[in-house]
Amino acid sequence: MIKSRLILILIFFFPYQWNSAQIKINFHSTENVKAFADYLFCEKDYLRAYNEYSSYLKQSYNDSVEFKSALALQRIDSFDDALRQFNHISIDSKLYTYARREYFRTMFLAKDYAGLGNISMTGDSTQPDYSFLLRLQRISLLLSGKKMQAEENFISVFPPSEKVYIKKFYEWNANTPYKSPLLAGIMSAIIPGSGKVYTENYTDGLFAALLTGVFGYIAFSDFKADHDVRGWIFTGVSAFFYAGNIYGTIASAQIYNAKIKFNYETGIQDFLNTFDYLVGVYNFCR
Amino acid sequence: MRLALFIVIFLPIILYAQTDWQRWDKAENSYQMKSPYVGRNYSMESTSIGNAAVSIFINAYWIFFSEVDGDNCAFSPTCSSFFVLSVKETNIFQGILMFADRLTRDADFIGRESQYPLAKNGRFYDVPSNYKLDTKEIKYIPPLVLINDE
Repeated sequence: MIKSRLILILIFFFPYQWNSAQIKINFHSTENVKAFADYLFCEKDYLRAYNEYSSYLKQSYNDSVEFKSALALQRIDSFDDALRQFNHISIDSKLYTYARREYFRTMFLAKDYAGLGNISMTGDSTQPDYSFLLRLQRISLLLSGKKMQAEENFISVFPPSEKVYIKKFYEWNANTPYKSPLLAGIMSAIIPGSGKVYTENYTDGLFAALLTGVFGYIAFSDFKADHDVRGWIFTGVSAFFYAGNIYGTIASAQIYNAKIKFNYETGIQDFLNTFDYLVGVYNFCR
Repeated sequence: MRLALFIVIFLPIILYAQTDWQRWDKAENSYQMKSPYVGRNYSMESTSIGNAAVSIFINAYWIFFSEVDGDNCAFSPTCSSFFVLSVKETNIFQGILMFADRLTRDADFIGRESQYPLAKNGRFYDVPSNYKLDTKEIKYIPPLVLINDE
């Protein structure tokens, strides 16, 4: 009986004793909170990383923690908070230049192109943060479609590897190959389907001409053969397709222009991704 | 003592264990596929002359074309659904013009792959909002991109 009691006591209390020995680690020490936050940051769990960094910053201050906390906010699209936090990093910090760069990048990601354009810096334009600002300002001009300076001056702030792309975007922006909806509509009114050919929907144009033409010809034949009722019915059908085609040609020109805009913006987006404009590359997670 | 030990260990297990004599609730799952088409309402009840004209036109189209032709429209929404949606989103005159243009584009069986994205049902995705002549409403989607839109 005593034996079994002893065994039971051992079974119930041994795990507790064993656990008690383990609980000597202080998981809430500032170092461990920082280590856990860093782990979460590197796992791209930015929201929880931000929470851990915040609890660290309540107890102690470290500029790299402040920087990473702001970066975590930026990566979860919490741009206003990220801007505020990047601004907290002191000018004396080694991370100040990086914080400025990230500040500008955050404004760009938040699509605050006007705000970005209003920032003016003085000093050496070859400084990393200054040159980055100038490049982002130029790219935001390309995206917002505002009036731009002369080409040579515009592309001068970009490194040689990027100049080729920027030149292409600049020229595209200056002479965007849009189609005129009015001209397209007039063309289809004169020759059914020709407006659709103008908007590069060649087969649509061909079928519009065929439908209008065939029903028009049937109406003409019916009138010629004194089948007036049938003649009027097919005139109506032909007019239906004729009017629909003029309308559709105007819509087609608008869709064509939307396609051009889409391709242009996608091209810029690809450029930004290729040259790491959207996400800063750091060695925190090696 | 043994009894007490037995009760302490097993009573909570018995009390909180999952019971198998109580029937589980039946889940009300629907296994019907959602129809990509606008439901056909053959009713002729209309509140205005314009709606009455649309009802007559669309009923005639459904009876004389859609039901004879079968479920063969290459587009999503189908031409008749496109017409109903166009009239709802614009007005009867613009809706008719949009419908005429859609029929013309439907006749073009050659160039569809290079123009339209694909709906979940495998048909060409072509919604009225792109044809309302309102540039703000145009949403360009590249050809053959799969749309997960209900």
